[in-house]
Amino acid sequence: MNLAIALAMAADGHGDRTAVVDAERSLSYHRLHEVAETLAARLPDDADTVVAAGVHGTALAASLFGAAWAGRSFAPVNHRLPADRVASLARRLAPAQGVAAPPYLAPLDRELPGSWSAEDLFADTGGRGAAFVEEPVRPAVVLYTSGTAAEPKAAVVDHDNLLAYLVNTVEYGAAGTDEAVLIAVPPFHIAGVAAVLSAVWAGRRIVALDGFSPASWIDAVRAESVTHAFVVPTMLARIVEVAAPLPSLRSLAYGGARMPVPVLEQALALYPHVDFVNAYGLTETSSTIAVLGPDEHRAGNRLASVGRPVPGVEVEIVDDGHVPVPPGATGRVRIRGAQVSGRYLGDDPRAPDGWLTTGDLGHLDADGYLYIEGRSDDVVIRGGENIAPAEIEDALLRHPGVAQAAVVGVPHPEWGEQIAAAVVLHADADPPAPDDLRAHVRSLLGGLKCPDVVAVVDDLPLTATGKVVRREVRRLLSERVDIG
Amino acid sequence: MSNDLGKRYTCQDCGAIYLVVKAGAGTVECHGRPALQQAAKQLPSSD
Repeated sequence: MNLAIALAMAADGHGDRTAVVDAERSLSYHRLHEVAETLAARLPDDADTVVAAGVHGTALAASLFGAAWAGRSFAPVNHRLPADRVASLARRLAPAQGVAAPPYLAPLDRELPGSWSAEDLFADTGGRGAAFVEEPVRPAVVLYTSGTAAEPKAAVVDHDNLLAYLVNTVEYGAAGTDEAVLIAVPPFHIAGVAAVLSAVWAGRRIVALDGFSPASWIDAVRAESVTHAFVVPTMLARIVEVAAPLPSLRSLAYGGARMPVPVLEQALALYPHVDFVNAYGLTETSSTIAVLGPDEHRAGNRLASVGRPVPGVEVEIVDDGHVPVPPGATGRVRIRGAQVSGRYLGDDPRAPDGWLTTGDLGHLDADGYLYIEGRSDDVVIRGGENIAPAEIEDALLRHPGVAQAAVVGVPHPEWGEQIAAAVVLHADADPPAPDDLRAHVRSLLGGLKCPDVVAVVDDLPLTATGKVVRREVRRLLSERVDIG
Repeated sequence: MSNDLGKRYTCQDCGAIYLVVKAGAGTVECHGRPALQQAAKQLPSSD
């Protein structure tokens, strides 16, 4: 099948409703359908892929569905990278049609001549009426993974993967006419793509923000009477700091990186009328594969869990020999289901039985709730003890002076590795000394998990979704430890 | 019996799932008898 069916059905079922609105324009499902058909007719025959740089909102929806309509791949790239890096990512996807927001058009056009501006997408050039390609052979979406540990890989997700996600987890046309979802996550992340698809499938009006600031996000919620939103943890931390009333908001989903429990507890207390949803997933799994729902958030005893698998998805924890381990035991998270792609351009590491073994470590409890303990690459091995950074980071964040924390292993001649923490302090707090923070963690977690080194830094290196770039932190702290 | 756009039906015999992509009159049948309409999903919105 083709993802385009979602747009055709939306136009058929509720075509006059607003599909997506941003600062530039507003599109009904009928109009978005027309634009997608027109774009499909305009795409050069030799363009296998539509490469998008910095397009969001109406232009993102148009280029995503235009590419799908013609059976071409859609590849939104991280436009915030230096121009030469964007060019090299685009080059790997040629032959392709480029489309870019104004600041990114000239550099993309040098790599992909004839690139369109976001505005060009809406020119009425006719060419409508052709049906979408029923069984596309190219992947629906190509996304470079964030690469916190290594170079980015180009993950591919097929139409059938994304449609399985929609059909299994979202009820078609179920959104009320008063519902609106605020999308402020980057368009080059699977969450940004999945948010568009889910909203179109549900019939929920999309309100799109270009970039995020707490003030613009809060303004948009109020101005557009937003009922639903998806944020990454760093966004939620900043929204909670402002503590503005958000009376229209009913549902707040989050994901993209690990949510610090202290931030979540603050948000739950601040917004008692809001349903909180934790969505855990990977690019390689067409976004969400596990959900922690509103009732579980309010019960409060599983806030560190990412929830239970969504329908159609199986999750297991396995040891290094790929053998499942009992509940409570830590191991690698592996995932299977129709929405799981697990392929990359030029690389298919999937097992023959369909399991995708991820780089995430975690455990399942006796009731089937999944807990993520971090990337296997991030575990600190100190004197033969495996120590997950997540718990230590949460403990540091419970100190009132700490705004952000990242824990990594750095080399130690005797223990192999030692625990090193980089912390960002709250500007207005009485600054705690590193030894105060070590004593604070020791009081909560005991001596084994107490950081050996605590360094105060101005900011942490983060990806666009708020994942800490640990190799950078490791490099920074290794230098500091050597000097010290 | 009519088919509502976006509804899913399951065959009572083989388990095949049908998605209605175009509304119309008529019955979704599989293995010689009507397929059962699946209940609406209760999953909270996650994106």
